[in-house]
Amino acid sequence: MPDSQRWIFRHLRRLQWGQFLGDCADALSLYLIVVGCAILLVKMLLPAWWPQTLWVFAGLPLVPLWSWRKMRLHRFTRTEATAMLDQKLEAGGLLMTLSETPDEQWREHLPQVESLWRESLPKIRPRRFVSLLAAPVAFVVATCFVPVRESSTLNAGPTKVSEQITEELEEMLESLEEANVLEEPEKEELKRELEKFAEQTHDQPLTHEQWEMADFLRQQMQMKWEKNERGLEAASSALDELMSEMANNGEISAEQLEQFEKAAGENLQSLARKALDGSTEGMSDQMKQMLENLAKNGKLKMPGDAEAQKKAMEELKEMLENEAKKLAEQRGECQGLGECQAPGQGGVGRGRADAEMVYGKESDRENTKFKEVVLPPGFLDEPSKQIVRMTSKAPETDPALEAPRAAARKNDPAAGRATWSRKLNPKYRGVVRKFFNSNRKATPIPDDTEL
Amino acid sequence: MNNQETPATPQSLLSPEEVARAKATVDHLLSELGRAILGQEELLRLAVICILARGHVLLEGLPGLGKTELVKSLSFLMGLSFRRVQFTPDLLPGDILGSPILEEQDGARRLVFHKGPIFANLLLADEINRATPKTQSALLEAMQERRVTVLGETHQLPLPFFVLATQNPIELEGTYPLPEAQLDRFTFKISVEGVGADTLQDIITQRKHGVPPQLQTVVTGDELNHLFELVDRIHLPEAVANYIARLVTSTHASNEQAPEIVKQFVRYGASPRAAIALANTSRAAALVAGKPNVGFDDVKLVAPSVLSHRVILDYSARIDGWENQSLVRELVDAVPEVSREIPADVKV
Repeated sequence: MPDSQRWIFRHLRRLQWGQFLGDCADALSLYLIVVGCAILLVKMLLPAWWPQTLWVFAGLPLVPLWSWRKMRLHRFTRTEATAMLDQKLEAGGLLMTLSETPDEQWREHLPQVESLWRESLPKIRPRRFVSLLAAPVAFVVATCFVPVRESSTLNAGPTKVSEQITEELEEMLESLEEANVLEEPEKEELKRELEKFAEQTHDQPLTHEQWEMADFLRQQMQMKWEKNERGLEAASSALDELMSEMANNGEISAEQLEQFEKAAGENLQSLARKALDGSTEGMSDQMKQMLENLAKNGKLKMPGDAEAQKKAMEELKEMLENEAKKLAEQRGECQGLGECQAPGQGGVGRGRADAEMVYGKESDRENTKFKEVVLPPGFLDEPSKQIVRMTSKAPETDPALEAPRAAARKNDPAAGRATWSRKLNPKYRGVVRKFFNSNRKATPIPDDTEL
Repeated sequence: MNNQETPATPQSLLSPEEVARAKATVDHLLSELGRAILGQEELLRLAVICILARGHVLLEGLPGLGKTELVKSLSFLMGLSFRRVQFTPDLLPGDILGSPILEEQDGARRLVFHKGPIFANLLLADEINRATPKTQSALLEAMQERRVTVLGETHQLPLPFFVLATQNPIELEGTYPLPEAQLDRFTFKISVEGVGADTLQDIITQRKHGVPPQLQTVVTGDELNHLFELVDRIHLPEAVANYIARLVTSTHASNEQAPEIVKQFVRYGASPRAAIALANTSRAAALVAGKPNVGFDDVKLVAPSVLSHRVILDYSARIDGWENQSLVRELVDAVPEVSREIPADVKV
């Protein structure tokens, strides 16, 4: 005989497990969603907290404990479990009664087959538990793979931006000084302007006027670079011409030499200043002497001997190439300085906040050269208006062609043929035929007497 | 038959033999009733259940469906004294309860109380809604406390005492609908439905001029008292009692657990008297079914008859075509037997 109390107990346990699983699945889902949202928020807004945020998973074991406690507080009572089992067994309340008032005689009236009791037990459904948790778990895992947002220089604040700009401008000036591009008065003036700029922007955000000032200083310094480079290019091209002349003719005229010396004197001042400062590494004594003279007199004095001239020109060419190369490198290093690549650092008058502000790609103002493009031959919109010929008097016209259509038809019976022979959309043909066909029959008018 | 109001305290379950004997008696009663009233097994069962629960029955149905015959048959079969009162608008309370009459005895004149027809075990109040409210209210004390008070004198009614009333749902002109207090005293309100063609064929072939068969008493007074005792000893499990309580409280629109249909259509719900009647009649239904205890099915069997006349519907319910019976059936379906639902993570 089945022990009803044991089955009631088992039934109660199953119900409590089901209750626990349900509570636990709900709580875990909620917990995981909250954790996922927290991870996302941290990764998006507080990236510095990222690895520490993973500690929230430490609370995961607490969730089942909390669910268990909740289940214990609101658990199924034995009476409820007995009533459910009674219903399932279709015992008509006898199981409930015997649970409250045991009676051996009536106990025999309960189902005697143990399989009936077993089938009445509720079955745990782990699949529901898993399906409830699947989405939140996937969400949390996905949030863990979301990349952490990088710290932006925007966090620096407006005063930090002004400091950065000042530092970058100073760095540019230093580069110019190192390259000996600036003359002394220019250097002093730029330094003065830069100090003034630094004073005005100290611990203060940049105003639009100060942004313009910074742009102006940067432009000034870039122009020095460009001027110096152009000078070197001019000197180099003059030297090339001179060398080719010498190679062709075996000698150069005094006039050509003087022109070259003048051009070199104008464009090789930076090189001369270097020589004067003692930056003469790898330079021959003759060349050193020549450049010192250039720095003092403003004129490059080439040696009189043809052989020496040739040698000096070759050394000078090599030196100019090296110098151009070096300047290009220094300018390349300096090119990015002071330009606001990050969004939001451009001020209100500098275009869209996230737009990339790139300078230096403008066309060369002084040596602008446009490529010649041959335009295609012109043509008339309407071929009928094409000029057939040019006459010295008024043209003769044909009235049959120029007159109105009625007059034209009078003169030429074939006129208007085009109208008749025009192709018509098939769906309109019937209508046209109805009104223009002379063979059509008149529609009979119904007689009143017939009505 | 004077221990009707002092039921024995149930201490142990009825033995299977006791239940079997009681069931045999009830089955015999029902089979005899079935001979008198053909094709109304459900009605007969409910009527017997109500009698065993010592409740009053209000039978509602069209004329000629056997309401009066049912009451007469019950009185014959149970050996009870029977009186029939045809309620009319000019009926007075004294016509039912009795009245003091001035009599001369031994040379002295004094008022002697002459008992009315209510002094019987079974009173048939035919077409009760045709009497005035004053006359209807004369039954209030009798039905609840099984006694009547006339001119300050209280007279005990014979026990057991049942009122079986009938009323006609049509021909409402000149009628006085029973007040709620009066309705609440009827344990059951049973709608008597018509019978099928087969039953009608049996009636017209088996009975000449509609005369019912001669019946013999099958339940004596002692046996009836014993049945009452057995009904009182039927066990009402805690979960079933909880179900009854929830069912009755769910008839109130103000109850949070009430189904939406109740909140929408019910103006007033059932009283605690309904819960008591539901428990008593469920016990009787269990005994009739041959069980020592009440089950959910027993409650569901009697709930429509107990609750339908105790629930007062809103006018909107009538507009939407809801009747008391149908609404109570819907309510019984809506209220779960166990207050807690089986968790979704277990499959039953």
